[in-house]
Amino acid sequence: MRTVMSDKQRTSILKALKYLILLTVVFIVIYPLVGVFLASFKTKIEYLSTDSMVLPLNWGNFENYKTVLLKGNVITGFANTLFIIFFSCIFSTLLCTMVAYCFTRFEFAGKNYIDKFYMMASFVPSIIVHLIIFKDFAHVGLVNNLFSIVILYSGVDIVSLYLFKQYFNQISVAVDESAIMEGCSYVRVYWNILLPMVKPAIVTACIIKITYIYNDFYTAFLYLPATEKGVMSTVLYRFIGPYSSEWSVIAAGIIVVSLPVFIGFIFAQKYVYKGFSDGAVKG
Amino acid sequence: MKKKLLYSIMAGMISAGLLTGCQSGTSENSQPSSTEAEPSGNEAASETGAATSQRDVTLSLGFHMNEKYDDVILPIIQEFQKLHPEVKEVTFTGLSSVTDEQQVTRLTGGQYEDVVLIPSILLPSELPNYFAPLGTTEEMAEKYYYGDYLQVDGQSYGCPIGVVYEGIIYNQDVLDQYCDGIVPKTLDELMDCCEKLHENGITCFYTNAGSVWPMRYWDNLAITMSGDNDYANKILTTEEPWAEGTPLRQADDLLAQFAKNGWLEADVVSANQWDVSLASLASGDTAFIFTGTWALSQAQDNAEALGLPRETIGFMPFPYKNDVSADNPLKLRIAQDLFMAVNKNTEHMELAQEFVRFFCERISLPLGMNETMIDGGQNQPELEFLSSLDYVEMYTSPAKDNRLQEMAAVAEIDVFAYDGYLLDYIMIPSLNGEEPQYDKLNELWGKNFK
Amino acid sequence: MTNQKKLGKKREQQKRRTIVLFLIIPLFFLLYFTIYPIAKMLFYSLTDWKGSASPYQFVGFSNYLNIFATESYRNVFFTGSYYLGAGLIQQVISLFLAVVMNKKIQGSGIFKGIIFFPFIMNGVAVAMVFRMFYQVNGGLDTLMNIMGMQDYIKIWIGNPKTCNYALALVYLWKNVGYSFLIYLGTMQSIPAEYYDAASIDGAGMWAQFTAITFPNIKMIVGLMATLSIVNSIAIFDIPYVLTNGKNGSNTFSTTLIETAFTYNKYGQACAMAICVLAIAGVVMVFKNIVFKEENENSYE
Repeated sequence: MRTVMSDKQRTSILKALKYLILLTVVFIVIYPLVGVFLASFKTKIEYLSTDSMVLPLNWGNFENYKTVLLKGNVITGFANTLFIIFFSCIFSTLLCTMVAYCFTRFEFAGKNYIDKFYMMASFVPSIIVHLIIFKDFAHVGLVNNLFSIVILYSGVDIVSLYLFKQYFNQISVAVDESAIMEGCSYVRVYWNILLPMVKPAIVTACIIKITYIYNDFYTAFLYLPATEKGVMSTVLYRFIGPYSSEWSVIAAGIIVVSLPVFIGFIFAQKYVYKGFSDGAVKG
Repeated sequence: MKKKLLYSIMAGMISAGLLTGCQSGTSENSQPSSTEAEPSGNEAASETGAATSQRDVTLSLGFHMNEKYDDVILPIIQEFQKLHPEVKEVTFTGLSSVTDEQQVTRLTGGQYEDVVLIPSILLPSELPNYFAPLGTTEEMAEKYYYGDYLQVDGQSYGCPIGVVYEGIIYNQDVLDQYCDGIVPKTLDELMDCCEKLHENGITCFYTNAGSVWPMRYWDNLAITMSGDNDYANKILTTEEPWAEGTPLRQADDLLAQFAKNGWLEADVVSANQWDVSLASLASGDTAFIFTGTWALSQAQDNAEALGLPRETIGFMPFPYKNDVSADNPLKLRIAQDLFMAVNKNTEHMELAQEFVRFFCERISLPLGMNETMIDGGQNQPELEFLSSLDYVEMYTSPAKDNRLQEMAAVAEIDVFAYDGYLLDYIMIPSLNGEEPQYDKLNELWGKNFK
Repeated sequence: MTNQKKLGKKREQQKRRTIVLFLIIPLFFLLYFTIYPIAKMLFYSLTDWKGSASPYQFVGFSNYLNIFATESYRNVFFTGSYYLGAGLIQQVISLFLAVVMNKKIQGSGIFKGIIFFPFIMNGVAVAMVFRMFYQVNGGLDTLMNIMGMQDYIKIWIGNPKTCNYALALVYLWKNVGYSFLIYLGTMQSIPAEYYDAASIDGAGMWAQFTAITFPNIKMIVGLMATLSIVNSIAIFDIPYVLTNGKNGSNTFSTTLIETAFTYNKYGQACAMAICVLAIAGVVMVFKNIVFKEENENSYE
């Protein structure tokens, strides 16, 4: 009887500890952000002349938000970003899973080298890469074309590749083989059987891809300089001048721009963390 | 069979995506809109040229100050269109947030506007690769201040968008309160004033060194102090430009001393504090900012926002010496700003060349600069008083030798260009109780003479 | 017998066709976006290319020798050590958080969202957040005043002693959410039955982690560790926006960009890029020794 009690106590202490840790993490994440939140309600001069943790004079000052929404081309930016995200996610998921499928299920010459090159790809300084390939994109008319960014993001990235490899590896090859016995082709196995089983990995990979696309301004400015081709990441830059920047508007912009992804993430995560498919695992 | 279907669907999806991409791209591009940027001047022009009569012309313009498009840039465009009705449209690409790295990439990719701002990091020797000459150096120098500044082989490639004076923007209220209202005219007066300001917890100079570009005024101070308008080019042949007694050393020593005395802003490293510095000047927490007069109206705007009269903020030459009089005047540098150029591949060369001059001659005043024309160029009204001061002598520097940038690259000291070296080698050591690293600078510069 | 042979041959053919179909586009992208630029950089790294159209000359290996002969280039390795530390701490923290959150826990959705939030944020936004956090009388100073530590307040970015720590902390703050998401996502691939069996056997949390969780995700841990080691010298955006690489915060990437664009020494910059790749290669060799990849799931 006593031991059961102490067990219970131990779990509740552990639980309390867990929450304590999580709350500390939450504080560390949120505390620096408070300054931005406060700044978004300040006027320009108020922002510049008060310390960052000082509360705004007027909490009803939504001018900065109005400026962002009216002048920031947020609607166009959001629509363009959604377009890019939609196609990039489809293409990159297809390409990544196809490569991961080949890597985990087939043995073939050169496999290890390809893997190494995918790793290398993440270390090539992208600003130099753009200096080299921008010319070609310009030459075929892909500048000011949303598909330029889609193509740039459709390549296989090493982290997604490993993620998919991990999931494919956890699926027993017996699953494939029984399907092949029934006359399925490899393509069917990949498309009809394996792909649906790695949904959590697809969502995880897409969340990361979306975050990258959403925040990448370098390629956006380079390949899509036209105003009506603006994307979400360039919304903020609309308020950053070469000399003078409207930081309080940018603060509001940060909140406006970050919220959709945050909310999207909260909704999407139930797919990520639903747990790996119930049956058909190895063992 | 089903397998084949799947193959073709997948291949189809990808290729269709690429194809529709191209199509949607071109069709959207052909819809004109006032703020649209065409992918490239020549392409856009040839498209319209083919579709309509020869006379309809579209020019493209790349300029920063996006936020001033409606108020400042558009009226100039409309005025130009009145003179040249065949110019149906001038498209605009805002370059405010396009970094120099991106702009260089756009140049190398051939994707830049008919009339465009020259990125300041471009090597002058590269200019003919991208831009058309605007005239001979003599002709341009006669007409414009710094009209010959960006030149290759006797041809001038950059049209200056305006000129500014280099000096100190100050807060009169602060001087009234702590320095008996005296605007320092000599170095001793400046030092006395700074001492008093420092005792009272006022930041004497807000340098904005973290942003790097504001430091070029401190560098140019060496030219002013040397008395030799062409001093920047003299270091081409100087093995040790930071040796004891050289003008560069004198100017940098001044900065080092300010740093040692604690007269600068607390955090000199953080970048992008320009707005903070202007607000600090307006509110009286800072007394001086050493910069160009283009910042004067910005600083006055800040004062106004705090409910102070615009006159609170004034401008003065940098008092770098003593015994100032009409016979021994303070020199005041008329400084170049940015330059514009014409795309060498433009379909409408003559119009573009006319437009670049037209634009540059009119853009200066609204941006808070003096006009760039030597004859008949107007100055900002609030700077008119300077010409009545008999102890001030204005000067311009001759064009910078193109080799200077190459030598700077060898030494990796961005002297007379970006001037980040002042922070690394002069200010940070001084702030941390060390001596400025002049020997190191000399050693690096010496690489050019090996 | 012959029937089976025929079937085998057919499958062999089908297999080859599938590989080609599946890999042709990814390999084209790999070729164009990675191998082609690397090849060009290799070429340019042997020249004094000044960018774009100007003619260039071959200079042999002098660009490579310069990297080791120039003090400011060598310093970047020292700066990198701060980010290396931050990167490794990041792996530990995010693994720990992922293990904690892998169990059912009240309010986990919002916790995950908050932990991931910094990674969602735009680089400029993060720079702005931390400019306000580190500035004189900013968020950090306020916090230290509240905690009675005002004597320890420094000019965080301006002081050469604290600058790199401050920047590395930003890196840590921003990226924990990223590796957290990857680790948690990977842990979801481990079948729940494993854990059920283990808890019946009475294995504690640590035992479960060492016996089940870690072995199953070690491929990803190895990858993330490799990435963070190489990234520690290649880190770019944080010093670029917060300090312009001043005050001893220059990293390999900020130096590389400065070398290329400010000084027009593109050949030199390419040599530096190749150098990063060489370092990456060495780290990868070590990774392959430490985290050996097993692949027991391929078709026979």
